[in-house]
Amino acid sequence: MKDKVIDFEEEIKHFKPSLEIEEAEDAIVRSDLTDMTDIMMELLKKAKE
Amino acid sequence: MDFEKTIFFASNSYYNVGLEQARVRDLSGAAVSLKKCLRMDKYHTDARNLLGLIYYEMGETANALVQWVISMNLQPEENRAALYLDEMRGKPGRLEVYSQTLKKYNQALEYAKNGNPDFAILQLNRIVDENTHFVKAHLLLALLYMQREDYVKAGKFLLRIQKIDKNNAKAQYYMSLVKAKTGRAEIENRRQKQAYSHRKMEDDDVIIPPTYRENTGWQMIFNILVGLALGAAFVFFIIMPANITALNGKHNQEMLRFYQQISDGSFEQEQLESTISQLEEEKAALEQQVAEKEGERAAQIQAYSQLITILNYLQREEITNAANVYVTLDQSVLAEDTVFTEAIAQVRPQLAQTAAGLYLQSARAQREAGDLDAALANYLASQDLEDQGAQVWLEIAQTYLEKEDREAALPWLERVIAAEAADSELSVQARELRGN
Repeated sequence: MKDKVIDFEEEIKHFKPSLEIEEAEDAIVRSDLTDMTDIMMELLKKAKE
Repeated sequence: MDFEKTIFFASNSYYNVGLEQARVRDLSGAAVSLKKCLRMDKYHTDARNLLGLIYYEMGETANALVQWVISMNLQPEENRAALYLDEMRGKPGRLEVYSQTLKKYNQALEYAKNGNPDFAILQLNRIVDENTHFVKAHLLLALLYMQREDYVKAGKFLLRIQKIDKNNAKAQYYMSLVKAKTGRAEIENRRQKQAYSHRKMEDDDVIIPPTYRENTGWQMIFNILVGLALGAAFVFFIIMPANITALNGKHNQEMLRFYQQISDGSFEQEQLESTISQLEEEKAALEQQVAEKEGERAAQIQAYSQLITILNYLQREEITNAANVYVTLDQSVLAEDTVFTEAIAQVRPQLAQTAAGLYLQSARAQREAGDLDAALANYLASQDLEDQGAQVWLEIAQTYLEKEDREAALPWLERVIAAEAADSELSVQARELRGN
């Protein structure tokens, strides 16, 4: 039985396609820009209500 | 507690960590820190711009563009991202090159996932030759070589990754496996000879495709019909026996006339269809004989197949793809075939600049890797397509000297000295090498 160094099938699953130039516009539109300040503001707003 | 100040200080801390990591080429680590910074404060322009630079440095050009465009949207004034975006827009064809690289990587990944590792390796080798800092491509290539149990080659690409992204976790993991299999010494010896030293992409690394010509009606028809004709003709033009050689000669003449008619724009549709249908019939008849032929004709079939691929790419104005195939085409196998050589002469002017650039890139990479014979072949191929100028003449001379062929180097040195001003750096170097 061969001594397998690496499980190729498992490893290849970790490789994801790279974003292509044509997809950049969509990626920009879909970007989630929520930051901590947004979250805190939302929490404060809810607290006041 | 003033949470805004807390967030501000926290985001700055992450930024500073990310900046330090980037400085020591821990790009993966820097990306993680900078993303945390931006999660704290999306308006941290420096962090976002630096994240874009890191993506760019690792070959993820589209991700870099995303960050810089978002950066400009959040801070339109006094933003360094404007400079980066101008750089990307300023060089015609640069985005096209990046776009093609990313597409090819995704295609190679598909090949690998679908059980076609050979195609994937072929594609990835081209990618890493053109884009020496595309980390994911190097990583996938290393994995595929490990799958083939070629651990030394895998180690070579993992070493390159470590020069780009020092603490890349996946690369370190694979390297530990490779070293376990091969022993460290062999890897280290290879590193002395073959690992790339990292350098930033410079302007002359980018292949700039020639300006696309307008695709006029007759050109489109010409390209489609040449493709059809070659597709029909490529099989029977490779026949060996003497009686078929005669037929070959006769059809060559017919095909040449065919080309002439198309070029003159004087072809008739019916005449064309008649010629194609005649060729199809003869192709069917001769296929029987082709099936019995020996393997040396396979190279000719391959050459015709590649020519058809080039024509198809040119028809779609994909100059870079066409040039990529052109530089792998072995024209010598059909040097006596007039149809083939005529077709090559037609396409060569359209590809000259791009293909010359590809040859030059390969030459420099091969020279750096110590493969001097291959480097010289590519240098001369590049020079043959388009005069590359004194810098390249000097590199050719240096390569000959590295091969200890002073006699071949001298004419190139003389050429540099004759062309350049006496006090120019190139001229000085050439005279030193010549021995004044």
